[in-house]
Amino acid sequence: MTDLLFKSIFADNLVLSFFLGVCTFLAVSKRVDTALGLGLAMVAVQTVTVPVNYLIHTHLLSDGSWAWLGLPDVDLRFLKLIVFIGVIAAMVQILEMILDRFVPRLFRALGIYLPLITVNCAILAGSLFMAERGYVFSESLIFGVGSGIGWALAVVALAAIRERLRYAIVPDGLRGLGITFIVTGLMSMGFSAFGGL
Amino acid sequence: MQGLWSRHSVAFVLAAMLLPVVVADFLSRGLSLHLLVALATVAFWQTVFRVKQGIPFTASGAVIAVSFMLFAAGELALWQIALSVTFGVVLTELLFGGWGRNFLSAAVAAPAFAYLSFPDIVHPAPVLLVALGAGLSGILLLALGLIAWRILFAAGLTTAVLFLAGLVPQEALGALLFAAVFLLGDPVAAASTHLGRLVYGALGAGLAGLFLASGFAVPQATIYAVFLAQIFAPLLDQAATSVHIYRRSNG
Repeated sequence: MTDLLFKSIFADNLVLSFFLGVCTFLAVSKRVDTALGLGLAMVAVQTVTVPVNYLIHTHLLSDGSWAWLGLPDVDLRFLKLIVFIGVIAAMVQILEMILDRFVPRLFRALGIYLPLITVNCAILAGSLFMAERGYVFSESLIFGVGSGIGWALAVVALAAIRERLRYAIVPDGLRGLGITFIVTGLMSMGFSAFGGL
Repeated sequence: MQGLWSRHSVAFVLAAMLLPVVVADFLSRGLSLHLLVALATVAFWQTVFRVKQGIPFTASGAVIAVSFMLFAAGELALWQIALSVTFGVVLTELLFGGWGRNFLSAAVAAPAFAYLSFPDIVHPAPVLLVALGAGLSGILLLALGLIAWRILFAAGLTTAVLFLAGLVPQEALGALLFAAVFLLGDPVAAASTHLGRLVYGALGAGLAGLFLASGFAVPQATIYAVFLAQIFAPLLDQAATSVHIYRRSNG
């Protein structure tokens, strides 16, 4: 279990190893406090959606899961993608309402990127990896927490680097996103070392 | 001595302090082609960026060349050396406005690029004599106040514990000492708060121990550990600042 947690945070880091969820990663990493808020939102969403999607995937969608109703031939696997997205959208909607009610400052700072977590490929990939790798329930929970933490760690580290880079003199053509891509590449290069563990 | 230190004088002293290390390496392995090619590559790119972007020359480029000589000493072709050093010096230093404005030390990125791009080449660990040279330079740099003692203290303590626990082999000590003084202690990319420096030093040494214990070769383990520590250095500084603010407002 510790292995899986470590692997999902570092070696299989969603953004720095698979380059998933890069759009939000680049857009909401200008300030550390906003990035931390988004990171925590990611952890929350990922922790809930991966196990919930696991339950739905195993007990409702997989081959033969309706046998107890006398319908052994029903195979709903083709619904996997749309159901996963539905669960994620519902979860994000709930999170949005909670943040709006209790942390309105963070809610405003995240802006459009909060609803966009719904279509953040890192979240969907978390659920799809879970299905593909055949995790059991406890593994899917650990994987959900770990991959969320890994994403959050990466975005907060990038935000801190970008705040430090305020004094950098970057060539005109690379200002803004260009240099951020380079920074992301360098971070990913460092994280590649965890793959050898 | 405050007025004495500018970007140039710091870089120059750092470069001068490399001399014991270079001599130690020269005595045990002879003249390294890597060093010459790396120096020429760094000089070339510094000239290009001086002309095109107006970024001033800096003597700290010598740290990149010496680090490359020590940590990527394997059988690299000339173009492979030039390409790796180019990657390091351009993508981690000059594009950010030159030494002093970068967040990652080019002396770390250049060997890391060589490991990733040419994974078949085996790099020998730096010889133990290097530890002597780096130790001498480290003491002088500490006396001059050019490296933070907190980083060296935390890294040294962590390494000592790991060494006694048998996780760090003896032949890694030369690499680790050089890395602690010139790479982890790099005044630009290192953490710059008190608490941040302690955690940063321990993180660097701890990661090196982790990589060594899980079968990485000595050069790879050292370079990747410093690489990751430097990536997290700004975050550690932010966290240390937050802790400080919290203490002051609740103390």
